[in-house]
Amino acid sequence: MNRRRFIKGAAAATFTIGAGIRLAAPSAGAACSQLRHLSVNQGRILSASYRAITSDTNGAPLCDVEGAPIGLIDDLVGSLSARDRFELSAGLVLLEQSPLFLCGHWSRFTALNLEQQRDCLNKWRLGPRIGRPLFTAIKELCFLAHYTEPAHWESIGYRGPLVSGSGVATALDAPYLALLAPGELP
Amino acid sequence: MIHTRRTLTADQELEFDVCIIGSGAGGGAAAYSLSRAGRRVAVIERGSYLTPKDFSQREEKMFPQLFYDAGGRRTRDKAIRVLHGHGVGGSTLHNINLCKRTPEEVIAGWELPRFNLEKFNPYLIKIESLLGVTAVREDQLNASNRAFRRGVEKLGYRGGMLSHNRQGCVGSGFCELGCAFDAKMNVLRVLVPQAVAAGAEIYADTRAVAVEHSGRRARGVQCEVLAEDGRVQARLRIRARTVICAGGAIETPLLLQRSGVPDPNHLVGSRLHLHPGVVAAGVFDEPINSWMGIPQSYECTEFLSFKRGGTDEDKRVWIIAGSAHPAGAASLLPSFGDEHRKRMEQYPRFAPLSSMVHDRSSGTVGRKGEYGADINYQLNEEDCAQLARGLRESARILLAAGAREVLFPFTEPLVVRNDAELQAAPIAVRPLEIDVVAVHPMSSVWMGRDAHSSCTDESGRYQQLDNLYISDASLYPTSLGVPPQISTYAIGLYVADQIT
Repeated sequence: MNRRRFIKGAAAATFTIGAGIRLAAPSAGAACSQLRHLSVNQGRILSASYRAITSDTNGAPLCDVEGAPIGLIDDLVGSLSARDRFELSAGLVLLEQSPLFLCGHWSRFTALNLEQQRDCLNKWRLGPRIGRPLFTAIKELCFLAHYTEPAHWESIGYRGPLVSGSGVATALDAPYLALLAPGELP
Repeated sequence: MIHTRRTLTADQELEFDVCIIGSGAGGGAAAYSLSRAGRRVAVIERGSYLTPKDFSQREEKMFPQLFYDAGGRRTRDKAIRVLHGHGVGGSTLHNINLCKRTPEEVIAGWELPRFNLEKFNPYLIKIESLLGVTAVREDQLNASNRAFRRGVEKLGYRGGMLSHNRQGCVGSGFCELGCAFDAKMNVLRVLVPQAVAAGAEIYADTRAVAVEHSGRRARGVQCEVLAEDGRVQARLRIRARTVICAGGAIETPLLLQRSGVPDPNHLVGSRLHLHPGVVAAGVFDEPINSWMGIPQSYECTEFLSFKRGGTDEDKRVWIIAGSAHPAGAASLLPSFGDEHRKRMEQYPRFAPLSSMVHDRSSGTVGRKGEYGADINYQLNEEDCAQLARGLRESARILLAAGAREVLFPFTEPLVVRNDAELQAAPIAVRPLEIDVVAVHPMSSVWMGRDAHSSCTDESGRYQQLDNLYISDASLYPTSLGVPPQISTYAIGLYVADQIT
């Protein structure tokens, strides 16, 4: 069975199982209602994953910045191809429903406590190879959002960019801007 | 001149002598050569026109701007990440500027009577001169490369300094995110200005939808101008006497497939090589700060030989220093939570080494949805063994250089602290158990002698259409075993010269 068929089949199955079980859905955070590319539910699943992936065993976040940078994760998801977004969506459905068949918890992923969420993610990480890419994709999104936040650089000894990133043209840009067609410059 | 989405707001029909799809090394060089020869040239580029002010040195901003699928493109089984770029300048915007010539033995092995070293060498020499290729100076070695060299020399392995195309480099170390200091002697800086001065028209933010063709002729190219949010804001139809596909070894076969060009033997998109690599990281007591300075300036070729037969037959691994900014490094490190955090706290003391295999494995590129890429490629056992050898030898080099420990980023992390532990370590490369990264896709529309066994002839002309050419890394009949940058620039000049 190829990967795509597996994901589609498993997503359909877990939807069915999920619909048959009464599970309390946590309330959506305000940040998740502002998303452009992710649904509120997807935002909630990724926020929970971010917290589990980036906090330590005691649940302490890695730095003082509060909350998951779900807006940035949303932007990153927006830059993926439509197909990749579809696969990620299916994967998030699977993750949300997976505690039942993966860890024996009668609950959604987002309703688990932090330790259980970490356990669940670890099962995805080390489980069958067909499921590992989902963990990898979520991990990459979370770490990309986490380690591009300047507040997180000091703890790892990274000094950040050498340029301001303001996007203001300097003498270096002049020869390039001269190549533009009329009307291109604001 | 260069046109972007800012002014390309209305549908247009245009006519040129040559339409080149892709502005990377192959397309940029062809545009340079043909426009200077008096041809009216249009260049279609999917990505944006970025200038030094745009290279913000921020991973989250530059990945989407410089790479297809924001750098998240992977093979079908998700085992290998495949990075290839877009933007005016293509992959030359983000590459690390290594210039290694096409190995003579590799060209000889292709056994192409009309494409041989004697014929190709002048193009390599010309492009090296144009781009100011020089050897990296001793004082430009950063701490990571110095440690690498120390280990190689201590073990008596074969190694050496690399050559680069950069000028005015301040050693900021952000090469893979584009150069904010404009020190890359690449398509953007060297070839585009000269092509534009000679009359070339470059259309950025513009996607080639299909090559129009009838009979044995390409007629032109249908294009879409993309708004910032990805929607189509205008359509261009470019009629041209000659069409050149130069979108790279992933996008070129996809375009040909989308266009429905004749392919009676179903060759287009097959035989893909990726030159994939894996990383091992040495952890040193002293700060290395591998993200600072020129990332890759020294190589170990002890386990890389292009000779056929004998004991060298089995040497197909090229070892080179690696570097990554925090998000990239964090993604490569195994696990998460506490364990991951402890590893990230060692980030300034990491010296990573990358091992790339001159791959014999080959795969296919096919369409995934309308514009996506379905890359079906699996490493064969021999290549996995070569990569495992690369990991082991990288660790040996790092330990010899004084690393306190070496980390192999397998799903279950493996750490060795000395030669005895290394000897006993179960190092094996299996899919999805270690991150494999490929930045050099090649060979998916290869040249050869006849239409039954190759996609183009030895001039780069597509076997089934008389005026359609390929001018990128797709053309190589095999993996090169080295970074294809300078070869692909030279291919661009070569193909341009074949067009009458």
